[in-house]
This record gives sequence, C-alpha cells and structure tokens, in this order.
Amino acid sequence: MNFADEQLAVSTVDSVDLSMELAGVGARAYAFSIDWSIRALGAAFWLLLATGIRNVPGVELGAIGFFAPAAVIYLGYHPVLELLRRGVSPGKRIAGLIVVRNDGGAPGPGAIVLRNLFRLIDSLPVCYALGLVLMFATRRQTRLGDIVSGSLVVYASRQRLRMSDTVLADEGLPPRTALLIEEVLQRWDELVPDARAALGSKLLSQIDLPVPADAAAIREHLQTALRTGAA
Amino acid sequence: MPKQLDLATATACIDDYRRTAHDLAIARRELPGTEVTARLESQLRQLHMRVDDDFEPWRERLSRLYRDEVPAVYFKLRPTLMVMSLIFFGMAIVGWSLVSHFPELAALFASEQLIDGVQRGQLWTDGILNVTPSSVMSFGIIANNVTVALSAFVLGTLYGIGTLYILVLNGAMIGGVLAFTHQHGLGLRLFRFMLAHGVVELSVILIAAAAGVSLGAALARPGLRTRAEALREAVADAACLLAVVVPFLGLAGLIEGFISPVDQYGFLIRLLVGLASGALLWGVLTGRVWRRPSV
Repeated sequence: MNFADEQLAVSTVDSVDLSMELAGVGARAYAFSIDWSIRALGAAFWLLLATGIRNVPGVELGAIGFFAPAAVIYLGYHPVLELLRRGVSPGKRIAGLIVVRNDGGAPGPGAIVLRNLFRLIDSLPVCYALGLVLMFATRRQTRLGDIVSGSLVVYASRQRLRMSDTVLADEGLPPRTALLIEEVLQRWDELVPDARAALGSKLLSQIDLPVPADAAAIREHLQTALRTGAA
Repeated sequence: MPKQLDLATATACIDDYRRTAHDLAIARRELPGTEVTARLESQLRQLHMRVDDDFEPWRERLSRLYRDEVPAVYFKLRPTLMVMSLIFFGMAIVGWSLVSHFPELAALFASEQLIDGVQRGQLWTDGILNVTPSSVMSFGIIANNVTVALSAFVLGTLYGIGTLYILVLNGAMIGGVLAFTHQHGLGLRLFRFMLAHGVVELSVILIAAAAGVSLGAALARPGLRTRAEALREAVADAACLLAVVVPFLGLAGLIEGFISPVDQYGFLIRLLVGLASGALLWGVLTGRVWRRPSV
C-alpha cells in the first residue's frame, strides 16, 4: 500500500469511474506562496497609500483606518476570493489546482468558509507548521481545514475537448479511424506532400467517402468527416 | 459563488454530461491510453463538478438553517453549553475572590493604564466617545469579539484545551476586573455599562465555547467513526450554530458602541435593551422565532 494516495477515485451517476490527481505538498506550497505574496503586497500597498494619506494636511486617519484595511486585505484574501471563485484563489489558478469535495463535486460556500476558518489552526505555531505536518501524515495530503470541510485540493482538468472527441459514439466514424484522422491532420504540414495525400486518400476510402485529387480538398474532407462524424 | 442554472442550461449541461460519459466509455474500450480518452476524461471531470453541485437557493437554505438545523444543534449542545456556563461563571467567582483577597493580582487581568484610571476613580469607558466615535468603536469591538468567538471555536480542535483556556481566562478576567472596580466604588457603573450588550456578547462567547468543546469531544470519543469523520460531523453541526449566532456579535457591538457609553441611557433602558437582544438570540436558537404553526 502506498504511503499517500495520488488519485481521488470518483464514480459518476452514469457509473463511469473518474480519477482526479491529488495535489501534493509541493504544488500546494507553490500556490500558497503566490497567494501569500499577492496579499502581503496588497496589504503593504495599502499601508504605503495610507502613509501618504496621513501626510495630507487636514486628513485624519486613525489607527483603525490605517491598519484595518490592510488586515482585511491580508486576512480576507483567501475566504473572499475562494468564495467568489468557488475555491480557486489566484495562486491555485496559476498552480493549476482546484478545490473539490471528497466525492469530486464542487464545494459549497459553507465548506469554503470552514476550510479557510481552520487556517487559524493549520498555521500554528508558525508558518503553517501544523498544516504541513498533517499534509505529510495523511493519505490524501490534507490539512485540518480540508479534513473538517470535507474538501480536497486536486489538479484542475485543463485539456479542452476537440470536436472529434464528441463523435465517438456515432455510428458513422469508427473511433480508431477518428483517432488516425486526427493524428494525420495534426501532422499534416509536417508530412511530405505525396505521403499526406496518400494517407488522406487511404483514410477517406476506408470510410467510404469520395477521394478528391487535390491535397487541400482531401484535408477538407477529412476535417469534415472528423467534425461531423459522417462516414 | 454558485449560481442557479436556468432549466435550458441545466438540461443542456446534463445532456452534455451523459454524452461525454457515453463517449468516454467507448474511448476507454477502443482507444485506451490515447489523447482522446484523456481529453474526454478531463471534460467529464469538469462536467461532473458542474452537475454534482450542492447548490441550494439561499432562501430555502436559510429557512432550513433557522427553522430546523439551528434548534436541533442547540438542543444537542445544551448540556455542553451548561457546563461551559458553569466553568465561565465559576472562573468569574474565582477571579473575583482572588482580586478581593489579593488586590495586587488585578495586574494579572488589567493593564497598568486601566488600574491607574480606576484608582483615580475613573472607568476606561468614561468619556470614551470623546476619543473614539461610536461607529469606529463598534467596528473595533465587533472585530475583536468575532475573533474571540471564532478562536474559541476552532481552538476546540486541540482536544478542547484551547477553547477551555479562552473560557477560563475570560471568566477570571471579568470576575477580577469587576472585583477591582468594586473595590474602588466603580463596580456598579461597570455593570451598568455591560448590561445592554453583555447578555448577547457573553451568550455568543459561551455558545462558541460549547461548539469548540464539542469538536474536542468528537476527537476524544469518535465512537465507531474515524476521528476525521467524527470531527467533520461535529464541525458541520457547530458551524450551523455559529453561522447564526456570530452575526449577533454585530448587534452587540453596535449596542456597545452606540448605547452602552452614552450616560443619558438609564438603567431601565439598558436592562430592556439587554433583555430584548438576549431574548431575540435565545428565541432564534430555540427556534421559537421561526416556529411553524401547528397543524
């Protein structure tokens, strides 16, 4: 048995098993360091601005007016941004991470508030030491905030679907042929002109489509077949 | 923030979800380990997060929270709340006794500035509005009280010890400071100051402490569940309660900023404000405010 799980297994309502890759300590620390830099800079920027405002004659800025906005920026950064962006802070976005529920679904506002509230404990005694120890000690590499809110941090799925992927179930175009067409089209410009025309013609005849003489027309026919799934 | 999808979008989303799942099943069989399969898996993961969303319209969610969940959790936590109240008031008596017998121990609970002021016959609350406007004062008080309440709650994960520390310290401090001011003839004035906002403020701190200790209890005695499961359930219960009571600290802060320091408000008004705000809080907790008509 592995010391830590690397994947979160999720079963969809259609009984298709999915897996999500759990984010490790390194990726999370990377995301956190970006977030920390942004909020520290934001708070520092306000303090600089407030210092300037204080120096303006006739303007009074009490201790609360001076420090409270900086505190709000620093402490409110994670809860507010994660609430607004469903668990994706700017640091997580850059690091390619998202927050999900233990069952792979999207976390609700309550879970997001809780995982941020318990940062108070995770950050004890200094520099998120408790949170780090817990991440090393738990199978799913979770800090206390994740445990109590029933959430996990996983790598975001960023691959975009292509038109050809959605026609697999259609009867006209066999999946293996669709894949071949896609690969040929991807490498079209790299192939020797004679070779690509020959390959394209072969593929078109395999799916019972007319084979034009012109290479450009062959490419167009292949693209149409892939886009529509027609054979 | 989660958004409610219109029917057409939701239907289209579910349709996409089913078709992608279908395509993925075929791709896995026919084209295992290819980019097509990887892309379909990625698409299905994104659609799964969109479809499997526990979104609930906020009105229904709030209604369920106030009518059902909060009273249920309150009655479940009531024995713990009573124990927390006993500890708090017990420590207040201890603090009172200590300072009454050994006045020099007031330095444990109060700053040097506060002690000097009281010895000169002045409360730190006297003329406070000349220094700080009510709005600013309220903001500071609310921020401080919310921090104390939430700290008392989350520190419960240290097997309840952190919560008990906050409770014991605050109980002893209130008792000690009251005894010290009483020794200098200012006890009644301090009590008068605390009367309007104190009921809600103390109630919320005690409830937060009970919620915090319930986390410690779940960790110490998880029963047949794992500790993580027990903690998660305890946090979910306690969080419902805190989501409703912590906003009352806003009310207490406003009273403390706008009513408590104003001398024109007499004892009776302060008593009425204290009782009314307390009744509202306890009415919400017990579900009496939202009670459904009997069928």
